[in-house]
Amino acid sequence: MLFHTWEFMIFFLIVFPVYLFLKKNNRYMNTWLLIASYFFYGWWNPLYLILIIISTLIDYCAGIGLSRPKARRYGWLIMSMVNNLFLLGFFKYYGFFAANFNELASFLHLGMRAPLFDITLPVGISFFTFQSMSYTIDVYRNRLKVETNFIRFASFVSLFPQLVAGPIERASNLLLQLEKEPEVKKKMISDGLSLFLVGLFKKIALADFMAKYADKVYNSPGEFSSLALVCGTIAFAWQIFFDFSGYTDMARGIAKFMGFELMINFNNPYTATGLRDFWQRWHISLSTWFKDYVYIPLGGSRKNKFHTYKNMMLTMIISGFWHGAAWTFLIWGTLHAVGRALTMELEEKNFYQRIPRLAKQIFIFAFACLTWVYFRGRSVTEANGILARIFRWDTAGRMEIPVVMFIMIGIIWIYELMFNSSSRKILELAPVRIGLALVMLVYIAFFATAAHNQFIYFQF
Amino acid sequence: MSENNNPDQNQKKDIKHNTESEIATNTVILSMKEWLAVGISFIALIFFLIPFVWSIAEKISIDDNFRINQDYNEDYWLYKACAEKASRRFPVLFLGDSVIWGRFVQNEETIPAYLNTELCTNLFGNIAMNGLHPAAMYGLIRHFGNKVMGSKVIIHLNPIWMNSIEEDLRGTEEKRINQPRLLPQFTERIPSYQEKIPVKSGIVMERMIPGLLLANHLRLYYFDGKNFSDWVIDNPEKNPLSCFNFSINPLQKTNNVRTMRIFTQDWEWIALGDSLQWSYFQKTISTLKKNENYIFIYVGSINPYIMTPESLKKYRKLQEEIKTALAKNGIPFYFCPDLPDVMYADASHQVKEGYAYVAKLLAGDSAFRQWIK
Repeated sequence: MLFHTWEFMIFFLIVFPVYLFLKKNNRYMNTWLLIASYFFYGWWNPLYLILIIISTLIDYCAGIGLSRPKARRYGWLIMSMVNNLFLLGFFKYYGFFAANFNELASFLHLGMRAPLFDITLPVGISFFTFQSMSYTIDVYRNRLKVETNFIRFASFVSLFPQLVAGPIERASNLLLQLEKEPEVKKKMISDGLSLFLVGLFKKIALADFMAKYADKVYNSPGEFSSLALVCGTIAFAWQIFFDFSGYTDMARGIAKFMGFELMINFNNPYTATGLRDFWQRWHISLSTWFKDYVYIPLGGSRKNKFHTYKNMMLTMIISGFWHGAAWTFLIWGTLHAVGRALTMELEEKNFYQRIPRLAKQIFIFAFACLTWVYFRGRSVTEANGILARIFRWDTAGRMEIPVVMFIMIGIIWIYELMFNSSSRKILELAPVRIGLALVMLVYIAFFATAAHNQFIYFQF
Repeated sequence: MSENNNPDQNQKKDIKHNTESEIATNTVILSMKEWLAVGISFIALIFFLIPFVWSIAEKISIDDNFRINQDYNEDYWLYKACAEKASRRFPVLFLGDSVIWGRFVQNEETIPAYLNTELCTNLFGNIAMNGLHPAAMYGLIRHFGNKVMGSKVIIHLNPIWMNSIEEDLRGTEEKRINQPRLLPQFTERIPSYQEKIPVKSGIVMERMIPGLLLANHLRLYYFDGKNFSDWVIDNPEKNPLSCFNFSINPLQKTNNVRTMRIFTQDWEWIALGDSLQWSYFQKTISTLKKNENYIFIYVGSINPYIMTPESLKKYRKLQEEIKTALAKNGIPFYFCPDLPDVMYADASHQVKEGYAYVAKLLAGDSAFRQWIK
């Protein structure tokens, strides 16, 4: 059930009034949220509800186990992590490892074969397993008190606005909000509407539009000129940003209606002036998750520089692999890790500070685009081929660059640059805000496509 | 890394951090009052202002032998505008399906065009549409036909739509239906029409909101039937604004002549009392009457030479039922007889000589002549 469909509208029109009626009683509220969330998730495939229930049950038990005075704390933690990582590993990565193992075995003339299954990736598995796992780790670290109410804990793991594509919420934020009666004020409703409108516009007016050009170029890259490949990559860069941040905005908007605060997940990442800055702006809930639960446990920056670099690079490579079970995602993560390692010191230097802000922003955007080639490419060979043709600057081939689309991208980029500068005051004027909202609504009504594309991040 | 061992304190710190952050990473955050302003302005824009301005700006020209281009068969904004123009220009409007629209013939070879020639007038305007079966015709008149209010209307009944359960839209299996956007979506059940609720809701909204009807017109007329983003991708270097010339001529240009072979048909023919299409035809008449239109009914001819004897027998029975029912209605009508074999292009369409012949027969009918006066 996608947020921008009639199905969701009907679902929400039923869920919301009942929620408002029940929210005074915490037990009823959480029970209703849980029913709604499971229905929302089960709409894709009711069978996969089993996975979310298993993950919830085991982490709930682990939490209870960890709170016992003479508990084998480490054992409970391991049980939770093994369960979540097994679910993720089997459904998301088994096929990848099995295929690669078989190729290696064949290369080495070994008579072994790993069986291959036709496994469909359950929607949002990467999100809910991470969210659930973070709870157990926080309880283990004594950063969080244990949740004894199973319904409330299950509501936290499966809360429908953020269940399938994040933001990956921490128990310290969301679980605490589920303990008390959420306040649904006028301000929350108007903020929620604002977030939802922007998210809807990002998804159906921008992301789906950019996707058409990116798909056209990337479906037959050999036919296009280097300039078209560059433009196709830029279109994909904006597509993935609008797609994912649009979903997050809608999720946050819906949560706001219900009185919940979800974290900001994207903060205009293409205005970043450094790679560190980029990762503080891109998929913030995932970046901070990896920082808190991978980078810091690995040692963070507590030892020498070598260990800091090693930990950082390892975290970024794993983060890349989180996005998908393919070599392309590993390379994408590795490129960011290398880029981050190369610029970590540089970003602190006076020289770097003196470079004009716009030049740094363009450089970071160009680097991000370069790495997106691997993210979007169907294989490493294809991505390598695209990059080779871009750097050779091959003028032969189709151009077909949609000028209107790039004018729109230009306008949006200028808007984002203004948002991050002193000119923001102009954008904050009421007539400008009202005018922008109207333009978005009219554009959606007149020009937005009727076909609903899936969100990219659902596949992660 | 220093760890605080007090979970409650840690939790409070996290919450504080979260609520201190900004609401969004853009400035389009509106208060309730501002949302009210946006809502009112948006409704004004898509219900009234944009459609009104567009309808003034867009100049539609209608020629003597006008008929709407079949490429715009589902452009009901254009149809509405053309019907309005036609009702001003022609004293009599001819409404029907592809038989009246003139499938397989040119603009000057349709029944309305031949009637004008026959009677040496410019009385008859062709507002027929391809694939306009009675149920769709009812939707067209009900939702988009208010502009033909008060006119003299000849309404065509093509019995072909009653030749089987499927054509009568009562088949339980889903089939491709002509003009589905003109059918009743929720108020009445049509067994053959099994569209999803979101699609049906979209159709109803389009009927209710003129801005959405206009959006569909922009897509069909200016953007080659594609939505805006598809058009931009397919025409990468074109300026979309240059598409809007505001001076449009939706006239059909040329038309293909029939060359296919006609096979023998064993149609079952539906009894009139059971027919869904007939019930919609009657509803169309009621709606036209309510709109103070002065109506004449023209019942088209079906090719009897392609029917099996059993099928022909049933068809004759249906013809009698239609005649009786129309006579009871008190509305003048003309029942087209069987034509010579060579005058049929297929089951219900005629070749140009056939249309000329039909126009001659109709023009010579006393009830018709009386009605025109």
